[in-house]
Amino acid sequence: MVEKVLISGNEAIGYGAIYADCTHYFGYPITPQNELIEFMAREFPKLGRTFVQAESEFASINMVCGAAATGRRAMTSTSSTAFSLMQEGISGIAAMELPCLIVDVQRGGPGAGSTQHSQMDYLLATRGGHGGYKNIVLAPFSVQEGFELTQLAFYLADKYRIHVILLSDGILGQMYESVSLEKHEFPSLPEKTWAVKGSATNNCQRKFIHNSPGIIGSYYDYMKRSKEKYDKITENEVRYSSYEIEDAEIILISYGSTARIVMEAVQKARKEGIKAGLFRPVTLWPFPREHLYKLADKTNKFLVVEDCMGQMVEDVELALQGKAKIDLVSSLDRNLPTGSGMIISTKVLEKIKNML
Amino acid sequence: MGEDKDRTYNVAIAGYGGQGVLTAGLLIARAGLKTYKHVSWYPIYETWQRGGRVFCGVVLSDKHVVSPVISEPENLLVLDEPALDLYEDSLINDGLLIYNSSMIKRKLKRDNIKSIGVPVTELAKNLGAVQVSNLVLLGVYLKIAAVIPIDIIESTLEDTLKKEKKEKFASLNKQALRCGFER
Repeated sequence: MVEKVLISGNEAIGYGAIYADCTHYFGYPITPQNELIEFMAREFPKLGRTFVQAESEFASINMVCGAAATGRRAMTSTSSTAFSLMQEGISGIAAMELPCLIVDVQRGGPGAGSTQHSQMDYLLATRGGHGGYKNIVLAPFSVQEGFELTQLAFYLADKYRIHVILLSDGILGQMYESVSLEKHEFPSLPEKTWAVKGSATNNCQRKFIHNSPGIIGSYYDYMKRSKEKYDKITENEVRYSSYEIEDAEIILISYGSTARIVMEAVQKARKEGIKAGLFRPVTLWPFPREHLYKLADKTNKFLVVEDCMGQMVEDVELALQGKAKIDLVSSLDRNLPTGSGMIISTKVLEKIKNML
Repeated sequence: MGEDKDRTYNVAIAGYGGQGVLTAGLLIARAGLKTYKHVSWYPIYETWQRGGRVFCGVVLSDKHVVSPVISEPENLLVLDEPALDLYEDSLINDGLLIYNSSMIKRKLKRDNIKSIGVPVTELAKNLGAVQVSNLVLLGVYLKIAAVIPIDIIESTLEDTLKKEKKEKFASLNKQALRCGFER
């Protein structure tokens, strides 16, 4: 029988990492992801796996880089402020094409912002640091999905030899839900022949992984290989889900914990006879552009709901190519002016009604 | 209980840091897992540990929980007056409000709700520890709303305290629950 537990969204990512056979975790505490590093500090040593509390996030991302270069499944987790600090390391990881997982439990920004929830890192997670690389971004909307997508993240990372960002948020990280703990099985993966394992392996052949594709080797080859990889991921790995969308006259687009609030708003709208539905991207990169574009044949009313001042809405605009009117519910529509203010379903319903 | 297959209940608890708001909510959620298919618990609290505003929402359901963030609670348990000021308006019409009359002296604004005031701080003091006022309040709620049998709450409470190596407080905590439940 599958074990059912009541755990936080942060802990669910920890369980997901354990079930995905992640062996190395490096991190530094920051609210609101602390339950995750705490979980790892407690559970990883028990399983004989490696837990290191680094001296900074700059150090932890580079430790992830080192462990991933040896072919181990490695990860780190952090929150917005320190996710910024990791960008140089992440760009290096992109240059080295290292599979690993970086979890960002978003809090308010910019700067130190707030210690509470937000969805203000969408562009940073999907567009990344310098160099114009791409990375897969997975966005869970429930504690259960956080557990499942963490397992998927490690698989996709190894499959494409790319780093994956799991974009959570303060609400999702802090809340508890009942979760069925079940290990997901994935197709087998090719051996990591590129990994640096020391000259005692690989018939004494030395391996070298570096972060300067434009200095060592052919820059063109690196870019061509990357472009082909990104195209392949875009073709094969787009994920999304929808709710009450078949006959919807107003389509709401939302991801992460905010999508849950939107689901409630959709239910309320339906009770009042308003045909609303939710389209929820699960992969923020690759973004489900074509699928969204097709929906514009059915209706021309779209409402993006995200807890920032408008970031994903840019991807929605690109996807819809001017075919429909797009409205936005943003952080300006939160119920309180403080850091703990949030977008609530009654506000979303109000906006839906304004669009009729 | 148990006959309606599509049960969904939500309850919100509010007070200040140190009153056991989150603990009481987690207790309902943990016990709820034994009688409902899906459970969610969501906390809101300020950065400091004591004195700040604290709120938590629990959803118990036989279906997937739509939103763990409760914007309009059906049941609201309030431990102090500033919390009442913040959340009184959010309660749905005909919703249930149980409030701590030891710390809430003002008249309620709403007249379209069911409300009951219980001096839970005083009752807890009489039991010997003001810290258990959250459980007295919870006991009152369990009696009126009957969403989870009290014995399941009690056994969950025992398990939790055992896990936290605080077994010595089990009897006082259960006494507090019963005090609210049986009054």
